[in-house]
Amino acid sequence: MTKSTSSYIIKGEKHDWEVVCGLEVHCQIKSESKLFSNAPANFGSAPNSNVEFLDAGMPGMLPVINEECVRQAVRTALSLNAQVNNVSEFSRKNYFYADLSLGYQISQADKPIMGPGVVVLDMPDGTTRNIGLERMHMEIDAGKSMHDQHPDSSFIDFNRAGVGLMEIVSDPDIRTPEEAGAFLRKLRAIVRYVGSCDGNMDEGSMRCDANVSVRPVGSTELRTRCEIKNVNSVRYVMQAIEIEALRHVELYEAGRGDEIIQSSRLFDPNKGETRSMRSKENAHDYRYFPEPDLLPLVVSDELIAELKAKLPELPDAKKERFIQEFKLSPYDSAVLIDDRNTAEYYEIVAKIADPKLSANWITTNLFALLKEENKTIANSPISASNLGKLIKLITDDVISGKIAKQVFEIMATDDKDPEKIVEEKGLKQITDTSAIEKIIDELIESSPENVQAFKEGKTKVVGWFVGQVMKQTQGKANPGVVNKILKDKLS
Amino acid sequence: MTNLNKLSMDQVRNSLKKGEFSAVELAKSYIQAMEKNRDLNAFITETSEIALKQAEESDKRIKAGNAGLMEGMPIAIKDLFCTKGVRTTASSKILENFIPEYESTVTSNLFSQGAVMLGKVACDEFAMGSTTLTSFFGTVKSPWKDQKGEYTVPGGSSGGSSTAVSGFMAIGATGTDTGGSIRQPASFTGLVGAKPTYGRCSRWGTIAFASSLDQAGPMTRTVRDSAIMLEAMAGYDQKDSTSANRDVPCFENAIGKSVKGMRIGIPKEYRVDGLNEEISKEWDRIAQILKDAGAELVDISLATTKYAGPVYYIIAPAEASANLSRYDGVRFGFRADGPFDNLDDMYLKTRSQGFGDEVQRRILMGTYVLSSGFYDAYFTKAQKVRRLIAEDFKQAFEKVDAILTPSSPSSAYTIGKEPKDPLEMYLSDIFTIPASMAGLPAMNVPTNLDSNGLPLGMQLISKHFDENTMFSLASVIEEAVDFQLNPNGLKE
Amino acid sequence: MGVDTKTLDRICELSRIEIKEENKQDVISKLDNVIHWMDSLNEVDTSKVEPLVNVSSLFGSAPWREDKATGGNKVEQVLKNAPSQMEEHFLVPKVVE
Repeated sequence: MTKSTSSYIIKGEKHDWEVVCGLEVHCQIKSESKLFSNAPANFGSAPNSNVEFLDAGMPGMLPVINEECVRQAVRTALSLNAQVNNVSEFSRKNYFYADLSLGYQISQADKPIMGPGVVVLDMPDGTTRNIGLERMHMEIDAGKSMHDQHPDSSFIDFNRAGVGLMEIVSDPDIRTPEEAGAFLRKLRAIVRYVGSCDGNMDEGSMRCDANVSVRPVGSTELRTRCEIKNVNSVRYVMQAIEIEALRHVELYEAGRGDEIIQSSRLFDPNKGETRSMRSKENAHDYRYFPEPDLLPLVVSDELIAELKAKLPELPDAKKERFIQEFKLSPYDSAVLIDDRNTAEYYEIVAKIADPKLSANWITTNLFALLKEENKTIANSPISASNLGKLIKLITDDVISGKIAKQVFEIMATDDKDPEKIVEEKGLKQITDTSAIEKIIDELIESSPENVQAFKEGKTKVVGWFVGQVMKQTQGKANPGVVNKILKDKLS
Repeated sequence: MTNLNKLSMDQVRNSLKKGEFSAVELAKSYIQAMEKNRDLNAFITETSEIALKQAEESDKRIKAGNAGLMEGMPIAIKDLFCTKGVRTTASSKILENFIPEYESTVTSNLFSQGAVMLGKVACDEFAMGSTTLTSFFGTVKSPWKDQKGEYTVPGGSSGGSSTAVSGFMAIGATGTDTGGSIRQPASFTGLVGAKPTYGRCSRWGTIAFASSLDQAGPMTRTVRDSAIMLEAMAGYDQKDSTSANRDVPCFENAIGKSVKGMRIGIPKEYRVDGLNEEISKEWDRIAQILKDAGAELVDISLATTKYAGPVYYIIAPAEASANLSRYDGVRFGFRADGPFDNLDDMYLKTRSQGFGDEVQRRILMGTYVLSSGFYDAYFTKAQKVRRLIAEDFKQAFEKVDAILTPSSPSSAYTIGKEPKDPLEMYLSDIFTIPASMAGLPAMNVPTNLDSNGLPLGMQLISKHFDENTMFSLASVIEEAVDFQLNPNGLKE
Repeated sequence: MGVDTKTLDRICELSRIEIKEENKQDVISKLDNVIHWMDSLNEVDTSKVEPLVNVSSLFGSAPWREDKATGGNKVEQVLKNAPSQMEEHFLVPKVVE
């Protein structure tokens, strides 16, 4: 069995197979308090301290909707090019579990707050691809069970119980693991731009379930899908899809397709496999019914318009603007807009220095530096204006790109004006032709064999001359000037 | 029994003000009656100490001229209202030792108006029943004996409340009414029992049975008392999303108001086949009383009446099946003895041992009507018919100001002679359920004794948020019938 | 529609209620009676009727509250009634995922 690299096709003995995948992404709503109680919604508090009586499922406690959660959901819907439903409804999803205090999850079923929408993926080759969204609904998070604290008991903490979630459900439009990754990154970018979710998969503020099935290429059927629950990084989602798809193909090819049953599975990144979840083995019947403790949720057109007017520039619009305004390639633009802080940083740099060069410097040197120092762009050791000045020094021929890298390294530990660094360290480029001419004349004189080689057509020796000049000027000679003089003198 | 316990709330109010006796003296008198009638088993938890302390505070406020609506009134609280620091059981083993850390809005409202809590009274387990025989804490006897001298049931689910008030062990009691649980026990024991418009009283802190139907209300001995107590209980509560954001009028002002020109609907569908002849005659008699008082009687039709029962026994158990999922032995309440094979084993044992038969039956019924394959046929269908029931009433109220019906198809059952089949028992709620489905205010007014010497009552239903019309009519009936609350099963 | 043993077992499992074998037939017949009574609703034409969930919806929509984290911080009260607890957590029989 091999996998085609161009488009994602799994080649089997009998068929070529394609992946059919839809994602369900749970985004914790950014708000001070929970969706239905006034307990804090923040992460990392002492056990059971972010708990109100409602969150512990105490008798007689009732839910009241948090307006900020509604606003966040509307903002998110608007930024996903989706329809906001004026009237939506909460339901109860009934099941028993230790971390589900009420015995039901308050969720939205038939009438979610958001209807169909679309997410535009930016693929590495610069193209885009649209992934449809079926819906987004609001619901409450469950508490947490811990199984390792005690030999025969599990510990339950309800701090997370009741925190607002937006569950965004995609259509089964995803065909490759890469698309799944791009989808998650784009969604994360959008919710972060809007400020409706932190989007941290490692902290669990964004979680992903992947519904995976396969089908022979050319077919339009939807075969039995398996749901891989709670995968906690973009990379793992991509791996899990790949592994699950291969599992399906192997079973179909072996004539054991009936072993694929609609079920919940867990992805084990260490073993590189998915396995059935024992706790979810019993077929569920969630008995959804409208939550009688709440009335319909009504969002007025006025509120929708108000929130729409206040939305920030969204990733797609920003990407388009960067392409137009800064003449960036679609790919570079997509990389820069991925994170709102990066985009803001870039804009400062690009207003000072050449936009394209700025993009290169940020995506290569700055990103490498941040990765090395384990920092985000928001707390970058080098400020945007200083980086801009540095890049401008290159295009103004004050320093060479090579020197700029030296200055960049100094700035990484001491974020000051690059002009001052260049001044203090005497790194200014030599553009004075007479000084360079003098060095070249001496070189021609001292190594006639290289001059001879050049005349015999071995043009590579030019490199040797440039190297020597740079060595003698400690790299400060302007490479353009050096090349020009060399050309004149050697021929 | 001292005479103090026979006084109505307005009489107590005047006497306390004049200093004829103190709130503490009144509380003591009620505590004595409560203790003397323990064999009726109305109270699950007596809170005499709290009562005396509250009464002392009342006396201070009365002296300072700061008396609230319920100042010094010793009341019983149905054990469905969570009371902070005081055990609250819903009459269930599963909450046998549950002590809430919060106070329900309704009891909190009552206490801030000066009410004095004598204790927590029994009800059917989780308010599911019409007899109070399903309480985990034992049979509650009504103070009314039948002609053979046998005790009768106090009705249900608010049977501890009805026993306490009709037995002069409390001046009033809170009840909750989901399909008739205030009105039917009031009718069985000769009390005034009012269920206000759905949303009038906050449900916050009241243990839920069926969220879209549960409504608290007062059980008292007079119509005026009912108005006074309801005013203290009611009010918008931001903590209950279904609570009505409307001002609470002075209900007491409605008492004694003329009902001249009011149109009273007599729905033909309530004259069911085989309706007890005594009750049928009583209905006519009370209608005539209203007519004599200047009201106009109008024959109306509420065509969907006969479906209200099935609708109720779909919707209420469905909601209950979810509301009662939280009783799982994890965070509070009863947990069966281990060891357990696993978590589900704990759930199964805890819930099977913790809930009584009727509660289990309702949970199963609710689960059935919500389960896949049956949801549309039962649950959605019932919610649709529920709307038709509400619309029927709406149309009727274009023609009439209030509706008069019997409260119950029978008087109280003798203990042991109540219907044994659940369905037969469910059919006994048919007169109270329709108003519940529509969320309308409705109340029982005691009117007479039947040939068995047991109380009969009539139900008044008025428009949403128009409790005052209901109270005005009730006070006219009350005055005309001069019903004597004199139960024959009390210790003297 | 009616209730048979299989259906009873299914709804018992869903609602975490255990009915003793010897009581099953009695429970089934009682539920069946009630469910047949409910079947009378089929007489009503509801083809053009919207379900009514809560009567209060006739008078308004769900109120919203301000996003203020004024609650929580009551670990002791929350755990006070717990049948089993340790280190500020609720304890349940070990869960295997």
